[in-house]
Amino acid sequence: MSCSLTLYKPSEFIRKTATGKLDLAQSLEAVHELAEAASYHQDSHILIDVRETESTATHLEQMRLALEFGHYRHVFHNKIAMLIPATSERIEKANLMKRCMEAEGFEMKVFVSFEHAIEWFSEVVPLDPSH
Amino acid sequence: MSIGIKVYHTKDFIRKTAQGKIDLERSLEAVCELAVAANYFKGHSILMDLRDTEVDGDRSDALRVAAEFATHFKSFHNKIALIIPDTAERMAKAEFMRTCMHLQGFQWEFFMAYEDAIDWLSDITEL
Repeated sequence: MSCSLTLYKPSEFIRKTATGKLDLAQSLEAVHELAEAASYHQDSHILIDVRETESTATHLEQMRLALEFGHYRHVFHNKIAMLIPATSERIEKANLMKRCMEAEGFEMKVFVSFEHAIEWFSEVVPLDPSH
Repeated sequence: MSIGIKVYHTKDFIRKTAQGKIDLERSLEAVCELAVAANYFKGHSILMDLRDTEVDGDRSDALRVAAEFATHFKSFHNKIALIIPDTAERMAKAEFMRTCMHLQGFQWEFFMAYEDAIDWLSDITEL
């Protein structure tokens, strides 16, 4: 048996979970809600969990969504993680969204695993030399 | 589309990840190592990730490990979450271990998914 010991210091995060079909109008509404929550929890990271969704968004709609986030740039001070289904189509769409968001000045990463998203939000300190 | 917003405040935690075959001797050592870490980092929860392990031990071994935890009871002030492989055999063993640990007053729970363990270790506020 091999073991490792690690200290995790996870930061507070706001989690927004969506299920069902994603359409532009509701996505824009979701950005507003998220901005409102982020303005009250300014030190929090953001986790957008869309694993249980279907996306029909076009490239243009994704850019529109990133622009909407951009309007609220002043309230999003921290990392934004997007959790998506592990399909090539969704990964491709999410990567475009990531590039648009980065163009708007956000620090965003795409994940297919909750665990990896939490690691990104955490300070991780190995406690033993074997790690 | 339905949407929910929650705020997660997750306490700092010590994560112990093990791989390979778990034997009694090494398990007892691991409990001692965890106790030292938990004693040093007071206020931290514990996450034991055993998803990549195999267990040979019987109930008697589980009792020994629970008894070893009990000897270090004062070091463990917070929740202890265990993540195990999603098999009926491991769940049965974890359920027995949970009974032993609860009888000794530990806040102990097991999960098959990392996400569920984090939920349990977090204070979650619905907005």
